[in-house]
Amino acid sequence: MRIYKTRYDFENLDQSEIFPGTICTITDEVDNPTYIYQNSIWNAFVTVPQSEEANPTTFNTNSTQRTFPYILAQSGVPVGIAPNGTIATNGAVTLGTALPTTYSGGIWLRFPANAVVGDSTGGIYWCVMSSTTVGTVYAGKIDTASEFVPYIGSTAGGAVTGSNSAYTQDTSEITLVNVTVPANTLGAYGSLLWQANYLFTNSANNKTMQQRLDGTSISIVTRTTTANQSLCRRTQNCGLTNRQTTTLGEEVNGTASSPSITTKDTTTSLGLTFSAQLATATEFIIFYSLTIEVLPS
Amino acid sequence: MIATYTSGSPEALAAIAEPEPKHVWIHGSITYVYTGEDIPSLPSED
Repeated sequence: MRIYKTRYDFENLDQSEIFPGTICTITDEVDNPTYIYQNSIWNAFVTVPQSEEANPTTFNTNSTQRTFPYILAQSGVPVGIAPNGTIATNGAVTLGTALPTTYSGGIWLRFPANAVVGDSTGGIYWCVMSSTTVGTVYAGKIDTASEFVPYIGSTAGGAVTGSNSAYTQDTSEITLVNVTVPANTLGAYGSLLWQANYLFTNSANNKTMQQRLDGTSISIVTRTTTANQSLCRRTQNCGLTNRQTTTLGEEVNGTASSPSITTKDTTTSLGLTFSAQLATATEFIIFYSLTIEVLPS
Repeated sequence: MIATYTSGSPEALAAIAEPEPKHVWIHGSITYVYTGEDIPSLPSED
């Protein structure tokens, strides 16, 4: 049953006459809070706006602060920086270095400028792999200067036209994931709890994973002779909505660690970006798991 | 200093080719070139 009440009428309802599962919307308050009657009590009833159903990896993009923890973004769809290789004119990619597995379910891969005909800036493309080195690159480039949380890509646009010339991957820092932290979601003591997981080439060469809040670095890790990295960090406002700290990694005994302090205004929308950087273009980095939780204050 | 360019533009390529120490961040279609005091702190093993 669906009912509509003012706040006063809602709080004075005779609950003996309410059926379990009844949904009540408050008509005289901003954002029309809605409740569902379960287990003899009224519980807050939260829905996902229709515009977000096509991209279910993000939630709560409105600017009204919520008071309980919730998932801002999460994804297990991989995105990575491809090693050197060649994209043929039919869109078939051959990588010079094998990825850790055959991504037959798809993976977003970043290629440099001109690896794809007509792409003068480089970008991230949906690829379906048939082996650890061979696959097909599909049209529909992603620009990570805009919000991007990896989702299952589309092959409907057909394969790209590759340059058919060997490309050399950029060894600059490259953004792979870009999440918007809506304005006023944290409060003065609130935090973002984010977890990020990476796979990369095991070698003596640097692989750098960096996270930024509104363009400013909040965390950076570099690995060499290992094959994976798991990060769990909290970016927390320090009693002010425009000052936050990001937790560091495991403590190194006997070494003083400088805290990561930023002065971003969380009363405005901010971009939380996850980037990676190769030192050697024949290698790869894959970002394969992300969860961002908001713990408001 | 942090300079912003359109990724792949002649200005971006010229800035990247400059010999001075720098950090380059390709943020999709936007390329940031960090020089001087704005270069991020050295990476570290965690």
